[in-house]
Amino acid sequence: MYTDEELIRLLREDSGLLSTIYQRHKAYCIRFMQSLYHDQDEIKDIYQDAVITFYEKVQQPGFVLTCSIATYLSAICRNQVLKRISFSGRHPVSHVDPNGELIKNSIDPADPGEEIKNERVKALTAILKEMKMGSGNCYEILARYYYRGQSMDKIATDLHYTNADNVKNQKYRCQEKLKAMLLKRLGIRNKEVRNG
Amino acid sequence: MDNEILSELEIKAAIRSVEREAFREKFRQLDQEDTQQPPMPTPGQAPTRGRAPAIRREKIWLSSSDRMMQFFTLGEVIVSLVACFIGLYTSWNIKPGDQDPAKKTASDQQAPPALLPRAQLEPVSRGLSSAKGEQKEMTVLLPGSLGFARPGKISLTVMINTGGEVLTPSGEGYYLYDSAHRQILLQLPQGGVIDKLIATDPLLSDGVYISMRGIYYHLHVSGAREKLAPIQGKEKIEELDKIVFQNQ
Repeated sequence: MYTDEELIRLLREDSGLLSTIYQRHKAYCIRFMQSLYHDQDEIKDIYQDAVITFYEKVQQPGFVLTCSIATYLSAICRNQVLKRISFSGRHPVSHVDPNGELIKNSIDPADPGEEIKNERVKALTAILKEMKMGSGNCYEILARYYYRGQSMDKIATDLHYTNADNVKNQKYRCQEKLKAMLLKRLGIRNKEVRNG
Repeated sequence: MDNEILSELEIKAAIRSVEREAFREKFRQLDQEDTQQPPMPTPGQAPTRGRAPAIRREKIWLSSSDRMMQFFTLGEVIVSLVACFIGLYTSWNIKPGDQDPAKKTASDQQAPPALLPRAQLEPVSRGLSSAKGEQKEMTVLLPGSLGFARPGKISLTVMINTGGEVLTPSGEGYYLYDSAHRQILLQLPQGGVIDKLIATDPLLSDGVYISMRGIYYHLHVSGAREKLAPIQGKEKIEELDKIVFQNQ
């Protein structure tokens, strides 16, 4: 069984380990949230978001976890639960977990509801999903660069490019392709709106 | 925002959305796998085994009221019963004499050495032989381990001579215990019989105890005739009572 430190180190290389973290701390976090909140479905969603947020934080350069993963996750869950039950106004969300452990590096995760802000992002999301399912490295390069914060050198090594410049060129081509597809999609939609 | 410009923030937000959705899907699958597994046993409920549904369908219900049996196949039950029977049969029927001398048990190897070799013992026996007597194999009663397998059965040859020679003033008699040959020679008053042969440990390291008419006597390993003296210690008597009770 991996320690927290090992998991964090490996998680930067392999997102598959997030499943291990998810399962390892699920019972604890959900049990903890159940003492505050009774919507089981929402509790599960909150926990899932917390784990994803943790993953995103781990990908950020310079991220150092000063408490255990369980504590970190439970703190995120607690903040989210308190937000949902509108207690945050009267009971300010403290960064101390139920065990009394201070969370130095925890911040509230971005609101999942804000992921899709507008139509363009919605359209982009749909295009990227198609890209992910299709052939080519475009999605992988963009995801590694924009989501996991990997360097061009790292991407070049992992995806077997001869050097970082080649990755840079490929990324540019992918973005152009993405833009073209977006414009096409938005153009079609605008035409539909005008005709409708 | 101009449609011609694609900002990095938009790409970031869209990729984040895709990745989050992929993670959520993965987590949903994990949750689903968890719910497909049998629930954790609650107190009072027999534990069950995690099996694929296809396999679980082949399980039989031996009794609708006996939930413990619901996840065991008939084959598993039969195999377990046969294994138990063989194990019990073997453990209760192995005699020290049945074993290969080259493969002596730990109890044989660790038993205290005989103080009197067979050659020297026989004359003692012959000295008692003028009296009437009998010879029999007696099983040593050992401390019980209720619910668990007992160690191999231990038997000793007990030769009892009655009458013949002048007994001790107290009238209990004499004994000679040869642990190497697993023999006990007893000279008892007329009509004297042993009720029980007891040991406090399977190695017989403390010698053996006999019970006659409800009185316990301690037989040490001996190289010569020893007087039989009743045990007086209350704790030892209780310990031997307990062993007798466990073997009833």
